[in-house]
Amino acid sequence: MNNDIDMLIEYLPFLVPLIVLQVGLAIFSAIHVIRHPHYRFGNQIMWLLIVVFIQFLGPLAYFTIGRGDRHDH
Amino acid sequence: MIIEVKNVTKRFGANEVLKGIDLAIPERTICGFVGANGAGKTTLMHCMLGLIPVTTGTITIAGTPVTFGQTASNEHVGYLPDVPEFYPFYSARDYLDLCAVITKLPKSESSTRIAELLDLVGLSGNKRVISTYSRGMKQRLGIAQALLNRPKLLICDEPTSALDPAGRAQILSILQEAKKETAVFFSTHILSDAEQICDRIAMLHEGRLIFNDDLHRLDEQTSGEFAFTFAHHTIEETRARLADYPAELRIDHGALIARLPGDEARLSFAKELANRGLVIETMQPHKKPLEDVVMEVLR
Amino acid sequence: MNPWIGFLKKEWTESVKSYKLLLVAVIFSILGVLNPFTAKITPALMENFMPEGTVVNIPEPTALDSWLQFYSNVPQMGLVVFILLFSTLMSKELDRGTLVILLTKGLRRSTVVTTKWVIGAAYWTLAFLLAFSITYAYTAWYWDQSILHHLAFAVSCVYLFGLLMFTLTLWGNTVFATGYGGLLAAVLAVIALFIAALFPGTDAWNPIGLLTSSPGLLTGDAPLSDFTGPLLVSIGAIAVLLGATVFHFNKKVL
Repeated sequence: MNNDIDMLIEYLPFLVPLIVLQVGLAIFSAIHVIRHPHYRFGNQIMWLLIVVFIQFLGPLAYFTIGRGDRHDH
Repeated sequence: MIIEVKNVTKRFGANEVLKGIDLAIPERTICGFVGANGAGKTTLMHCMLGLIPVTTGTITIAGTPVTFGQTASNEHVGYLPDVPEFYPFYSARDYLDLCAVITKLPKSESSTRIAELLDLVGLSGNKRVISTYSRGMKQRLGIAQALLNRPKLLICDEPTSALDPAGRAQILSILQEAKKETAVFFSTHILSDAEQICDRIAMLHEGRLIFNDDLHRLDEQTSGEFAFTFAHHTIEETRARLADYPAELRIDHGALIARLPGDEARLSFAKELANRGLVIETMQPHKKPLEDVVMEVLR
Repeated sequence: MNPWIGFLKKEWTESVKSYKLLLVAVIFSILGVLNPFTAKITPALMENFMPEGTVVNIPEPTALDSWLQFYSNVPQMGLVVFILLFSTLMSKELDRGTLVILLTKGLRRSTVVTTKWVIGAAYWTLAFLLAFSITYAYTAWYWDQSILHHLAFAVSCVYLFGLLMFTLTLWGNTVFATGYGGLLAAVLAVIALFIAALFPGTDAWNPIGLLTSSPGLLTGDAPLSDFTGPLLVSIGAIAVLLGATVFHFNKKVL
């Protein structure tokens, strides 16, 4: 048990930036999905799940192929 | 001559879209380029801009020959495509700034010129990005960018066709205003738009130019038709009563259409109506749809 | 401002507004951390997965393991993501017709191609430097890097290969004028290079060698002179492809 905590502390210098970057990107993307409800295909729920749960490929897919760039009313 | 088109043909594969066009437009005129959809209007305009190569023939704009690809003649030209596309992330001002840099407008001049044009098209003070623009706003921004470098020739492809009547009137009045500085060559399939502001009409039909002259010549050639309605008698009765009258008469949309070319014919028709006791309720020149005018010019 | 700089500025603004800067910065930072992390955690993971009581002799990771991770992650994940992000630079403009107005305003067609190439190359440089410096910092902190040979030269090979792939993508995207045209060109080229590498003698020029054999540079097993051919061929190919793209685009009917 003690061993595990030691290990965790040992890897903290890697884990902190990785988690900050991935969670940050996921949150940023999720906010974008909610505030710009225009998608080239799919719906809001689908894109929210994708950007939150698929690490860094999800946001990538959203910003490259999912995001609608026109405000057609 | 601002535009000189000599014997231009354009083939796409086996399909000959332009069949030997000769066209000369004098400077400082507004020329309406009229033809049905698919007559080849956009193709000829693209040839004038060097966007597509001509199959045979030559085009000269303000004395500079047009070549395919990069063409020096474009520095005399402002162009508004039928569906102008802009970068959606720019505001109108940012976009015109980019255009000013590309067309090498001196910095000292560009900022006042851009302000002037935004005023002309009614977009000054609008700071929103282009992705939020309506079709009409894009069309107006399109005119602003086309006029930026004070071109000698403004080419507009169907500038009014996708707009509602108010937007249409706006565009037409901007074009009229633009005439102070430049010649305008604009295509439309709506003859009445051309009639409102043009000095000159060029008419394209199935790849051939069938008419190219002052607007009033077109009137002479095609008009002389009047629509009458009558008090007390139905159109059919009136038509029957005039059965033996030697003029071309027909019924169209509840009105009697009489073809009366010249003053003589009009006077004698009026006299005849009086003689036969027919009371005119309304009378107006008969405006025909484009297809009919085309048919008449072809005749 | 001259038109070339003006259009470059537009390309830059567009890339930022379409979130390319954000995505490239985040993804390549993640990759930069991932390389030393994977090197360091692999032995511990292996131990965990082995059946209880098995005696295994896993050597302690070294700086070399961290850089070998760099060699597999940056081309396999990083470059693929990068190419995906930048594979529609030209077709997007052609699809939407945004160039027509600017070209009739006198924008040179070569300017369109060269600014797009420069912006893509600048992004690849940024992405690469980001992943490189993060991996370098971690590796220097945890391990002794003096065992490595020619580190700068070895990673430059990966950089150049990436640049070649981007140039090829831009060419394919312009010639085929569809979103996947560039991707297709890049994928087919990589497959062709791998197949060519099966034949003896091709490693004298095959650019794929920049990826597959340059780890040998780090260990000192491969002499620098092995890379002269692939390097020259890659630089030449970049120049030829860029020239071909300009040539093709000059004659393109829009």
